Amino acid sequence: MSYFGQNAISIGAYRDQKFKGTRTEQERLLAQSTTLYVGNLSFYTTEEQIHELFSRAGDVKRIIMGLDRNKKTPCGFCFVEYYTRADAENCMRYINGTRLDDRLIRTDWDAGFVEGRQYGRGKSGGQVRDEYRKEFDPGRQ
Amino acid sequence: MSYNRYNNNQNFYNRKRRQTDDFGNDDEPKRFRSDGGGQGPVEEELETYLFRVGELSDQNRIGGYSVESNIESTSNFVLTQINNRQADIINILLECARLPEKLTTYSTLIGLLNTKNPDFVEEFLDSLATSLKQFLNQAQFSAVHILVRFISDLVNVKVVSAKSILNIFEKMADLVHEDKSPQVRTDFYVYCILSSIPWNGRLLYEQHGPELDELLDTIKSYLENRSKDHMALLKVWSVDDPHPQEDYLDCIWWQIKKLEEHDWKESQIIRPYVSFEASFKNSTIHDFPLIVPPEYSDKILYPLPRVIFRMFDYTDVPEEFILPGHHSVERYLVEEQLHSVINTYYQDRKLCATRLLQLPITNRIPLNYMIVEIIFAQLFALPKPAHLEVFYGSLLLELCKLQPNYMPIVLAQATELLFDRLDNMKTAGIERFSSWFAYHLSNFQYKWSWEDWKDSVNESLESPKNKFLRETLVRCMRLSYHQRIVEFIPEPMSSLLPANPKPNYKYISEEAADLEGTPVANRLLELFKERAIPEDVFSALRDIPDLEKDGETEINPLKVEVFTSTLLYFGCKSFSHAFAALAKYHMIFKMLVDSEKCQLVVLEALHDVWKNHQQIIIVLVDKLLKTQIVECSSVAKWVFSDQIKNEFTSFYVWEILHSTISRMNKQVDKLRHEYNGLNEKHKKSDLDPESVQNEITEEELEQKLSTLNSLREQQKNLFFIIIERFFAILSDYLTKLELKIEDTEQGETFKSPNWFKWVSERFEDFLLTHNEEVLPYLDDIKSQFLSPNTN
Repeated sequence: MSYFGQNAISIGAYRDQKFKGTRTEQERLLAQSTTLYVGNLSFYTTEEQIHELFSRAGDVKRIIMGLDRNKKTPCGFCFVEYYTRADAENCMRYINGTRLDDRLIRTDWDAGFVEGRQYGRGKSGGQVRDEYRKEFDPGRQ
Repeated sequence: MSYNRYNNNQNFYNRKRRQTDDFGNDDEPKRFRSDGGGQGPVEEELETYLFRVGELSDQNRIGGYSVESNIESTSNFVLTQINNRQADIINILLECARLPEKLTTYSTLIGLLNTKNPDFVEEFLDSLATSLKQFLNQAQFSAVHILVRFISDLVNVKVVSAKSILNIFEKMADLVHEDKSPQVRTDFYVYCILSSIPWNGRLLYEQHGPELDELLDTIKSYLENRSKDHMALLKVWSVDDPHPQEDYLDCIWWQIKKLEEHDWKESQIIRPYVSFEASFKNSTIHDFPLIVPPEYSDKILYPLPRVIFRMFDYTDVPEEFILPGHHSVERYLVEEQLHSVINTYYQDRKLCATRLLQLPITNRIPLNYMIVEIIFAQLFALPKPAHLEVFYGSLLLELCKLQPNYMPIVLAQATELLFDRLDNMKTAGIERFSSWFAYHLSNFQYKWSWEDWKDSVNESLESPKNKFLRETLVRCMRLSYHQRIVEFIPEPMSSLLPANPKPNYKYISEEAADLEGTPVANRLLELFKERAIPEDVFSALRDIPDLEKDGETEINPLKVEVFTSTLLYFGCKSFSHAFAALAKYHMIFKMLVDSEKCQLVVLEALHDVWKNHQQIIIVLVDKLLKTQIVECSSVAKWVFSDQIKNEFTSFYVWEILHSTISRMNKQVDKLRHEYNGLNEKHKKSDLDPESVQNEITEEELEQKLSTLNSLREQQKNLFFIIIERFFAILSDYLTKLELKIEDTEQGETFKSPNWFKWVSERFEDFLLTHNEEVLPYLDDIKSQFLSPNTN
């Protein structure tokens, strides 16, 4: 039994502005979610690579690649859904902040995949963060 | 409140962390506080001081800058609070007593409290005894172990009498005379005693020398007579060169003996209470209540025995360090602390890494080496590691981050050493080492001095080193992509490269014209591209007629094969494409695959198309099982079939088998859990006839039970299939060896002792990993498979 370790799995501050439901509902879903948002992927990272790494935390139920809204090509994020909360927590503990495809990736709790959320919300079709990024990032072109 | 389940076990450390998000906002999460945020400053102060005593952190600047004065000031503060908050203080202290790396800090604190308020300490000891008894009754053995040690240390601060502790030890040691006690039970209690003695051995010797001797004699004869059959199964290294792999009790016995040779004096444990010897002079010494181990029950699962994993000795470390010998008590104490830290902080890898590196050590002990040895010891532990393999990998990454100039060097040395000794490592160890190494390299751009290992290229394909390298590269590819591997492997070693994971679809290849199924295959491809409905696809398949046999119609295996290969080829672009294809035409599978034979055809077709892409085979077999297109038993038979024969020792095949068995076990467990739940509800509704809400009928219960039983039959069947085939394949090899028959047709693979190593150790690993599930059937297995001349 371990008392320590709530920090690694705590819910971040991001809240989906387009979430359909109350803030309370969103909090509730986040607290019991088995889905994780994965950010800072290279545009070239494949589902296979994601599966290989994320399977090390537990059985992966499905992976939904994040796509450019217009081009329908990967734009640097994805959702990974596990079968159990415990497996998702282990992912937050041990995979968040390590490298995939040579990039430090970030995982965060997600309220659950809903059709449409796989698309980037930036003006040009990719992710919003790429609109504001100042440095050149060769993996995200 | 949405965070209730986190609040129950919340302790101080977690409440005080401040959450900072990406936008730099400091969002104090009041909702994380179990009391709803109603704590006053004094209450928080008390908790801070108690949880952080001895740490000298910013939040704990009470009483100066030394650990001793900090403890003393904390004690004084606590004394002022006893009147108002006795119960709280006791509860917090009970929690703290189980913080393994702060044991002597807390015993010092209790010792000081005892000098001023012995009544309070008496109450605390009573609660401690109750707590220990509870843990014993609940079979929470790691808690028992820590508490016994804590209580042992209390003799050093004149809180608990040496006699009362000796009595507890003697009661535990008495169990060795009980006939019905299984070895694991007596092992546990003997281990409790031996592992507490480094703390209070000196005092026990001074005050009760003869009793201590007698106790040790009892233990000695127990150890001499106990069985070591488990050793062969649990050893990671198969040879004792350069380091003997010892049974854990034997090891600690010799360490205690060495301690005795040194007059029971050791230098590793930090004892703040030494400074307070004068204060304790007039302390009231309490007798700790006698704790009697609960009666034996066959329902209790005791900890499994262990073999101590060793990889370093003093010659491996740089000259400025001294690595304590295998039997020195210092080696034990540091290792014990390292294990404790890992087992306490494993859910927070950053905190874990920090705590590991902060371990207080003396005498120029090479902490980095010991940390690495302990982590690998846990990673390679048989039957399985205490924690997820990825935890250890990510922990090592954190350690490298915290010590970028030292840790990577030690880790590289460790890797080379492990590779060197690979010939003597158990298969399970080699597999975990390979998986870890690929993962680790993927975080460092695969930079490694590959040329150092170029000699292994010329070894046989089944040699441990050659196989390790090839399997590691497969793993590296799975985490990246084929071209990446080609780029960093030196050209002379390119024979180690995995195949390019492209699909292999025979119906568009050069030989397609000669194949019977090609016309239908081509038609199917068109239909798939047009997103045809399943009915149309099924119609097209009718062009391959079914077989008539003795008046019965049998589905033509060719039909199944053409459909499966074509569908998988059509969905070859990514996992999602393949899954979507399987989902869309799932009903066709259900209609065609009506026998075990057809299931095997599906699996063989899958393998044909994807023979170069091991990862997708694993994933698709899993999918086929999940969607119930194939059964676990078919997968097992397929693994042992001719198609897989030449790859039988490849790691991915075992990944598939283990995952299949695991899936079966999970299904059974889940159903058993559901049945037990229903049973409970049913009993309750029996007792309370008025409660109609949760009424479970007899029929429902019966139905559930029969489903459970039939699933358990399937599980048993699965195990028997596997065991039977292992016996067959191993006996075949041994017979041929004995009769000196050369297996020329099947190639070099089957003649080699290396092949036998992989396969026999897989069998061993299978039995060990699933020992709990296999155990009920042991007698059946013995009678069915073991004849007088097999070993």
